[in-house]
Amino acid sequence: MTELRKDFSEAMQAVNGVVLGKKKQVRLAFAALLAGGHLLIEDLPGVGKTVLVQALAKVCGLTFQRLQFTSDLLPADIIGAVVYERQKELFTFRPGPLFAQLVLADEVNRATPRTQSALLEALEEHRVTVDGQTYDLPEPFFVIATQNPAHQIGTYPLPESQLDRFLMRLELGYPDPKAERDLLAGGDRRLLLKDLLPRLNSTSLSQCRQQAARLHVAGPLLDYLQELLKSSRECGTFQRGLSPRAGLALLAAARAWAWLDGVDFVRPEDLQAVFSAVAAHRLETADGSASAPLLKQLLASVPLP
Amino acid sequence: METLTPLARRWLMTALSTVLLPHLLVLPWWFAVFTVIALGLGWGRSFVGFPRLHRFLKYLLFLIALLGFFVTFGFPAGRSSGSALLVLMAALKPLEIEQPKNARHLLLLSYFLVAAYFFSYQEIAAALWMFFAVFLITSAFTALEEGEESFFSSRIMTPALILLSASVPVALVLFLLFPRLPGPLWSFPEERRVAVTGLPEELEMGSISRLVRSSKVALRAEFDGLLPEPEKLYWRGPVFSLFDGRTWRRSKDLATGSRPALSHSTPLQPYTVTLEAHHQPWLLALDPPFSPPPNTSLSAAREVLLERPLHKIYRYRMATAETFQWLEKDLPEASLSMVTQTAVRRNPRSFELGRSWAALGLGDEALVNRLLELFRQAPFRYTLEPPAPRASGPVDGFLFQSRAGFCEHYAGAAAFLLRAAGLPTRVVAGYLGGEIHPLGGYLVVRQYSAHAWVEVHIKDKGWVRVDPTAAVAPERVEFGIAAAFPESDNFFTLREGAGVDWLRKLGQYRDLAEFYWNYWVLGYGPKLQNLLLGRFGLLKLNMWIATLIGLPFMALILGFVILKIVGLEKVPPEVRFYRYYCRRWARRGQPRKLSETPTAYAQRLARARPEEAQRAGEVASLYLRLRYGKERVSVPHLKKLRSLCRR
Repeated sequence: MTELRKDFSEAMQAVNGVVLGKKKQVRLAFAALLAGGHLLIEDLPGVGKTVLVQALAKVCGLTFQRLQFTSDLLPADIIGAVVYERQKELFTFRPGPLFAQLVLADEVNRATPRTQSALLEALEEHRVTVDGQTYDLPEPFFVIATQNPAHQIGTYPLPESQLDRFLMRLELGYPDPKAERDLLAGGDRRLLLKDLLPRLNSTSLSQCRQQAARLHVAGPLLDYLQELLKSSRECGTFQRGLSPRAGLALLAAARAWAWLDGVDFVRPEDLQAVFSAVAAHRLETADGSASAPLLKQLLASVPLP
Repeated sequence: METLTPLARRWLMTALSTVLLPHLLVLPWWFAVFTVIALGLGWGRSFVGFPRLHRFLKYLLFLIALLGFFVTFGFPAGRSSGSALLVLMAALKPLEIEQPKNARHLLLLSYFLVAAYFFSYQEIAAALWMFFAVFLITSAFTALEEGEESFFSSRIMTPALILLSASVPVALVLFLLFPRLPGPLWSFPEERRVAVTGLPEELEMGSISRLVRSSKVALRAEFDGLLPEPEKLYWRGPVFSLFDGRTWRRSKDLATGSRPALSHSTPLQPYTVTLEAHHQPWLLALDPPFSPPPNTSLSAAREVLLERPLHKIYRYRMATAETFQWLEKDLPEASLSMVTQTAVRRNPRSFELGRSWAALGLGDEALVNRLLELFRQAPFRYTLEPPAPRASGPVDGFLFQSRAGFCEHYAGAAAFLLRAAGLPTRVVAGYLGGEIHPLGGYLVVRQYSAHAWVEVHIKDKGWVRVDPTAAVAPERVEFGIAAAFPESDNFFTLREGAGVDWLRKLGQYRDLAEFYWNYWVLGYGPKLQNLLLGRFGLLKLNMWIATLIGLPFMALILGFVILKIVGLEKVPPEVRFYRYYCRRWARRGQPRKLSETPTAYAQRLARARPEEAQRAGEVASLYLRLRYGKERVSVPHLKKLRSLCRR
């Protein structure tokens, strides 16, 4: 167990070497990977979303595909299509770019809702169906979608119901001055990526996932989680409270977070650490403002016994 | 699994031995021996290296105890047998106790065993012993919890002292205010009593003189007016009308038969008696008894009878009169045959003597004088140790051989002779005299004042008291028993303190304390409670009102206890300790925020007080492990957390 965790933290460190000053976000991304959930990164272009994802793919030793979403992208373009092979005289399925262990769906809100739906269904089911034939997606299957803030022109924001297919939503934000200085002084990030070595592979990753999923959760922690859920439903700041699925997501993320810390049970701080990232995109504030600061208030208002 | 430390076991045994000691004194001897052996084995186990008893040996001991119990008591349902069984099993229990949990159960039972003292003892000394025993039991509880090294540790005994002193006011309030019911709430089947000092149920030669060796208090009396003269203080007890030649018995028929009426010609003299429990149905009353207390009855032989034997101290008011007359002077036919019946076969010579007096043709009173004349003559002696008579009949033996005896010899012989002479006669047992307490002003009557006399039915006069002892030893009647046996008897000279003043004083104070104990503690019933509460201007506590007040109160307590057990929030110990820790920091200006995790809090504390950083970290990680961790909370961990949180 310790061996695995060592590999894992080395992988995390390697990513931090490339993506500077984003320790918390990197760790959350790894937690999402561990918890078997998908990740949505929402921020302005050029803050390092793509670099983060590429670094992640590299150190984890996963097959990587990048999907640039545009408004004219069709579902078949990502899933793949059945084509006629003239030599063999039969129709064969040619898998699309989705058939990879780590998929970067870049600027997912630029695509039409139709294409978005095709992607999100694949996220949920871990398989795709084309012409009545079902094809399993590879394992592990981890999608990181990036999204530009909705107010940019020519975007189709993801609907609420589909947002909660993502385990977490991260915002990278601008780097702090020191990190930015290092970034500017350092070499090209893309070159650094090339030098990254894989620290993990799909088998070790799935072992880590299993360990994290088995982490002990005590009754008092569940009490606390339920209090949080209840409070989100009753406090009145949000249009709708957190769903039971959100509760499960919180638990899975907290387990992964705790596993990263090397403890064998989930502590309240694990839950608090992942709370905002897991819950923010599932909640719509009553007045349409950003939910993250409100979530901080909520977290502070629920007493931890 | 936790095991009992030797020290904790020693405390358990100390408490248990103290609790059981008073029980041993009232149990049959083999019980006591068995219990001592079992306790000894239990003590042995508190020393390292003492072998653990084999399972079969334990079963054997248990079976012996059970067998002995059933042989002694049969299949009983009574309080003394019940507590005897408890005592036996409690003494055996330490042999199989390995865990503190079981020791706690035994200690809880010990509290009950302490309460069971009251079945056998009601003295001040017993109450003091109870306090001591309760203190030891409570200390033993602490000894089970604390990992102390030394037996006489203040950490073991101080909590018990605090608890005990805190409970005294509560006990006092409950004692004074808890509604007193006129009768017992429940009753036990009545039991055979063993070895109680007091007037006998049947009178034989020697049954009174046995009592004279005891200075136990029989009763105390307070008089509203002046005290009657000592020679008039005839405390009337059981009346014996049946004689079989050896033993005088009470007549059960007379207990219910019609009784002749009595009138007094001088004013009634009321008095109050506090009678010690003597386990007999009769009350003691000055002769002649007037205005018997409610719930008693006067028998045809003018005994004051309760409905059932008296098992606890009893306080009642009665009256007597200096002079009185019988309104019906004739004896009813039914009782006549009884009070003239003689047993000729056993005592033929005495019978002949009585018959010869009848032949003289004297009047009733002259006959009585003839009898007293006989006793006044020389060879008759008044003694506590009459030689054993050789004749078959006790009356013959006394009158014609030993001619030495105590009051019951004289009374028995007189009654027999007078019956033979044709006069209806009966024997009365009771006490004569008493001592005035110099400090309390009340009269103390002790067992050594036990006495027996006769009553003769004289034509035109009715029943008349005749005391043959007055003829042979007039000083007994006038000056009390000690005067009748001047220097010859060690018992009476020693009892007087042999001139040691402070010893006598001490005895007086003891008796005074006992008197007030009897009055205020043992005699604290509904009447006294009403009196007391009335004096303090409180409501006149009628039993029903009290019950109405008391019941909701009890229901409240009961409900609270039930809620406490089944419902409400059950705060686990680790949370309690941690909250305590947080409160302590809050007092030092660092309160934990509502949603702050223990880790975050510890980090904040460490920043504020770097010297406390290590402990704060330890507390947080241990608390997290205990509360959210995988393994079950264990006692050593809890103890560690507690000590971390308290320091």
